[in-house]
Amino acid sequence: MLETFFNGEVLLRAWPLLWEGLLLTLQLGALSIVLGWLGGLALALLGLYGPAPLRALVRAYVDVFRALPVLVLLILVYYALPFVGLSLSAFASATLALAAVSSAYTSEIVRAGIEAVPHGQSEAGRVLGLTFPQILRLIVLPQAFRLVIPPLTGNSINVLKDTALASVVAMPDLLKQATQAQALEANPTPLIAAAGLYLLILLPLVAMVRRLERRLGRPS
Amino acid sequence: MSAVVLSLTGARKAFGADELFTDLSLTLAQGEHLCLLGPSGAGKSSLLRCLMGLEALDEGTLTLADPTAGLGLVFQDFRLFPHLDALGNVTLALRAAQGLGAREAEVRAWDALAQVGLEAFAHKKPRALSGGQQQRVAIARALALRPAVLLFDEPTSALDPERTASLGAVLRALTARGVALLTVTHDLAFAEHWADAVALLREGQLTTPLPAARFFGPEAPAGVRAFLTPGAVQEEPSEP
Repeated sequence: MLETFFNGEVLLRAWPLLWEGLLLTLQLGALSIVLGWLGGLALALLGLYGPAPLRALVRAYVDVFRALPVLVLLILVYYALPFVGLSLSAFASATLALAAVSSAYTSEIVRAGIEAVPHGQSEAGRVLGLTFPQILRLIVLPQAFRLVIPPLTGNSINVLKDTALASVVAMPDLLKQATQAQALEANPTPLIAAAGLYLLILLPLVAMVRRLERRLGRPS
Repeated sequence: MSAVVLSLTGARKAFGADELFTDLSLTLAQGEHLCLLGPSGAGKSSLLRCLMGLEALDEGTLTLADPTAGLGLVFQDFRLFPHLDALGNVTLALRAAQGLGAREAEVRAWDALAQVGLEAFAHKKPRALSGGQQQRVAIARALALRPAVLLFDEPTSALDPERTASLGAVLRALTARGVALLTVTHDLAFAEHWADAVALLREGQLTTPLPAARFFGPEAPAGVRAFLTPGAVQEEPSEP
């Protein structure tokens, strides 16, 4: 049993592969998360304050990318876009798909955060002579960000988990490397190790969200 | 008579078919404290919002003697910025709207906080302050911009009598330095004690401001007496 699932020798041999995969997973995750934040913030602002046609466009984008399974989108980007002359690497395809979906979710989270800041705060800014961009930057967004940190972290956890889908388009991420090593060694230990590594990264984040939510849920 | 710092003439404001006031005029002199009374829904707060530019007048002209020294408003619910401490609340507009450097803004902000007696609380967040202290931060925040006129919406609604008196003292110190005050209130005792002049906004009309002693005295116009003592005075036909 131990020999099969927790084989030390196998783990030692597979470790370089797993390590490479882990680094790639973290790079893909971090890049997708940051791009998702930036895209989501831009979408939220356009969706709230942009001209009417743009607002409708943002709404359509958000609905479509929240409805579309990430795996479907990823396969579309990787296998279908080349037919229109756009060939992206596995890493770029995965980043694009993850960030596109994440930005849709992020924009909804940020929009809700902005709308949760009382309108009186903006009026107080106007009365003091601030311009609209100043009100947004100095008064509304700092308060909104505080509200959206827990849901934003939750969404980032999902993005990090979804990086495993990139193994489908042959990107050598943690999961792909683990399955490769498992095939090579004819032993499931690398898969167990990969699962352990995912937990090692994600469990603290999950715990952090729980703490943040508890702290924000308590009236100050 | 001091110089007029603000004059509003022929003001009209309606929400749809609901006319709040028509042909309303008022002037404020430097260092004057004018109190507006009136039943709820008479349009007192809307008048402040119109003066402040938060809502547009349907008709009327607002003239400021010195357009560079504008108006400030202290909201009934203060509306401090919860993510900033008291000092940050005061410096924000000094830096963003008036373009002062960090040091100059801080000097001005400390001065404003000192005027309301709150230096010791400069680094406290609003939630750590009492209602009365929050109101003082809101006053300091408006005051730091050196307005010619400060507007107050129901300033005593959250204050007990002791705090009302200390607010009155703060306001008196402001008028002594030449700031004109326009307060909207339901608090008759506050108006009688602290205002220089009192006027009644009722049924879309503003009565001529009278010195507090006259407004609350037996010589007041019938409409005023009817408002102050409902049922006790019969509405008389129009006076000359």
